[in-house]
Amino acid sequence: MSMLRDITIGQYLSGSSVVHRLDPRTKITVVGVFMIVLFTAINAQAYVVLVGFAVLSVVLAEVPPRMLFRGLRPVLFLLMLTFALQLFLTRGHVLFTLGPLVATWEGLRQGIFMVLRLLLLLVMASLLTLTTSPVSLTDGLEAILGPFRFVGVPAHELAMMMTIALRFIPTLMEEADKIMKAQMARGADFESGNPIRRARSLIPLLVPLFVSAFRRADELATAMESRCYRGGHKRTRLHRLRATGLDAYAAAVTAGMALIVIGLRWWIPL
Amino acid sequence: MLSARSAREQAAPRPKATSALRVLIRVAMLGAVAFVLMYAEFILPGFPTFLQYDPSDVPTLIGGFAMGPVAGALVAGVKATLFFLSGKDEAGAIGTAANLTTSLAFVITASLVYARLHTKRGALLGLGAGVASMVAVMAVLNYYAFLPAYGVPAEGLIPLVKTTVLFNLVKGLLNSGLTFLVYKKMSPLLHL
Repeated sequence: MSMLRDITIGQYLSGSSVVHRLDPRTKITVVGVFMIVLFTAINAQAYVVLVGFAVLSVVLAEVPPRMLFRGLRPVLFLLMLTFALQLFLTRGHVLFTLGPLVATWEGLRQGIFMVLRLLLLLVMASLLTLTTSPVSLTDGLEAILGPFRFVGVPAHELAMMMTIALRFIPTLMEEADKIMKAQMARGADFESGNPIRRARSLIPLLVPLFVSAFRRADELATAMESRCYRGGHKRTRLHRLRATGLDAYAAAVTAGMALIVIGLRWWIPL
Repeated sequence: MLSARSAREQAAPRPKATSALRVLIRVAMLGAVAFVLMYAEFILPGFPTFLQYDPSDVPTLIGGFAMGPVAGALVAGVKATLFFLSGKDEAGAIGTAANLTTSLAFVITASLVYARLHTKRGALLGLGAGVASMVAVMAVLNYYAFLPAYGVPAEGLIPLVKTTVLFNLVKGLLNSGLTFLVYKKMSPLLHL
């Protein structure tokens, strides 16, 4: 179990690049729009625009590309599978044959598109979490959900839950580590055996972890209640979100990109 | 039979009034525990490496059993959001969406049944129904949404969906077993 090597949540790299300085609300919206637009792209020209946008974002974010592609290894198999399936299963003009398998030009094209789509999705999502701290992402989400309060979405409460969860992850990680070491000192084995055995071996970790989590939860509840916490109504904040001219530029560029990609569906169908 | 049971339940001491804040904090804490448990993942023999077992649905189910389906669903939401924020999601947002729907289908069904039938049998029935609905929902969504989003073409879908069905079944059963064993030990603590 490669648990608890690093206790930091997320992969936030602090910095002062243009992307770092964008308002979290802008960044979340941009990534959301990008992801939606990505699924409307059906031709090479659209992918060129999308790749250009992603490259521009990465360059502006001044994030080492190594960090971006670190998470890629686990999906490598899926990427190759996707590519192979597209290559051999799409019907069309024969590119080459490999035993009973027939690769087609159309398959090659489809395969490249699909792999690109997945890569772009991944890169943009990582870029968001690399350049925005979890806390400001939570603030951004709260602000974006804010208008939905009127249809019954408890934006403040949801954000408060996220904030508490983020606050306690390091604590609980440490706790889990301590419990595991204590149980291992008593002869517990977390790493071997068949799946059922391994799952069962988690019980001596789970029970104390839950007990501790519930105790902490109730202590926190008492502390907050005794300080008269009563939800988001009329609360003030230390850090206010402020959109600047930078955010306007980002929004304009993103809107342009979205219009072009969606427009390309009609201008150059396939 | 049923009326006798509910009469016995009414005779039991009522749990202390729960404030909304207390529930909110417990949900948040369980979400954090679920996230921590995502690191306790291991490969199930015979499955491709991108399908890994992790016990993070156990806190979700405990939350659903202890505080009802809405709380359970919220734990799943917190867990999925943390998963996305942490950058552990190697597939952009698709992994997060799949993670969220898996947990939601599991926890909502299980805790709805348990809320109606608050006994050991109800818990087992609920977990069984939860696994069944989770496997069914994910089979449909994998076929129509998630696997196509990964770029798997229509001809390659069926074998992959079969693999994920089997995987979800095994994962769901392991998590159900764990939840059942852990919840029994936890229950004195849960009623506050």
